[in-house]
Amino acid sequence: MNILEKINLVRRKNPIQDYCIQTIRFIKLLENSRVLLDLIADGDEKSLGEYILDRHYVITLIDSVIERLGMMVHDACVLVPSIGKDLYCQYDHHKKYAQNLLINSQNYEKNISKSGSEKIEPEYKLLANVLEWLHGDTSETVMNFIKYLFLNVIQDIQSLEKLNNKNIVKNNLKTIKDNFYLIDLWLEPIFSDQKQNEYQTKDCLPLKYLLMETEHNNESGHVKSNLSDIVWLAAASEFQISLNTWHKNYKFRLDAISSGHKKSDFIFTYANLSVNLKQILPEGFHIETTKDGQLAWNLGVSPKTIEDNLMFIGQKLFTENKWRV
Amino acid sequence: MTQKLKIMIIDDENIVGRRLKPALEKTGADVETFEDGESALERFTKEPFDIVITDIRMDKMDGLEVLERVLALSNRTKVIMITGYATVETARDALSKGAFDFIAKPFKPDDLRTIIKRAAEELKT
Repeated sequence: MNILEKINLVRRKNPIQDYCIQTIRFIKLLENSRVLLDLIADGDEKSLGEYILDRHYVITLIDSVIERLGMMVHDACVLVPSIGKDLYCQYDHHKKYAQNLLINSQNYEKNISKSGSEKIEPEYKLLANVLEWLHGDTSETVMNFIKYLFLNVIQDIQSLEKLNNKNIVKNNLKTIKDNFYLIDLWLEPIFSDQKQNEYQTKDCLPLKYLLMETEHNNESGHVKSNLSDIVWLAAASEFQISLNTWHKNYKFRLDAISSGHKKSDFIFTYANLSVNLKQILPEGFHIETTKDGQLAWNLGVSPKTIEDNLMFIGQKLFTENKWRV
Repeated sequence: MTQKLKIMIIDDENIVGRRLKPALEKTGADVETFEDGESALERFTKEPFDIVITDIRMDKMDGLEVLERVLALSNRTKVIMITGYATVETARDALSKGAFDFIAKPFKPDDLRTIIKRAAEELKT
């Protein structure tokens, strides 16, 4: 194949390639949100009073949150350009809010040094205000903005109809079980026709864990794999998976990194309200339910916990199949 | 009877001295706090301290200069550096100039007490 033929192949509209690019960007969004959640958790820990901190720590926390939030907004706009204006407006609002927190803190410091009555030290007062802005009781928190951003992004990219129709999936992808299709996330698009079918379950660690119970039950002959009428699409690489359902009523998405490193591994799930998410997830997940769907994640846990979680979820999804409301 | 450990804290963010002083006094040490290197060194020339805990980033005189001048006045003094930027370079720089140890802000007083305990043991030998 000469270079011109290769370029033409890349230029050709390839929905599977688009899907992979979208998935990679979505995982990037998750990684950025993971860093942001870690920052919030760090702020929470430092606010308990055991630590000695200064104003510089709080300012750095604010800067890091704003920077990471900006990266998330950028990722979201790449995924769903139509929501860009709205997200950037909200992002600007948060930046202004953060600036005002610093200005108010300086005023607080001046006032207490004048009056001499110091109830809370200015640094801890500022940190408390920052944490209130991040995930307090008000509606305009950073956490609520993150949820809004995710739900908007997911609801748009969740529609796998972008792959045009089932035939594209059926004709191009390897099926590893009934209605379960697999894509190599990083495969060069020009080779996709030849190599996609060579991709194996064992090549993806998280997928191996997800299907472990199903495989085991099939081997022993006790329970048959029951993937039923729902079409599953897994975009996978060695340590990453993005698993999606393709069903009119049941929207479910799981993204996971299981690399054996606590700092980078996580599981994230989204489900619409037709799915009984609590039935699928083991203990330890943080679940957020809104009128538009359910978000859940588990991070900062050991690699072994991530493996166990994936096996548990796989069993619920593919063997017990009791997760639909 | 053992002599009380004399500790000097230098940080331009006064909250550090304010919070550390009572936490270290609980261990039975004599603690004095300063918000700049100049006034701290002025005090040090009158009476040396066993341990100096200094922030690295300060406006007028930074912690590395404090470290050099303290060691020039008393080479038995143990200097512990505090910084908000726990970079390898800063740590290496401070340790190569003779700092006893290094702690990154924010920190728990217990973590600093562990370093002070080690420093105190070394002072005895």
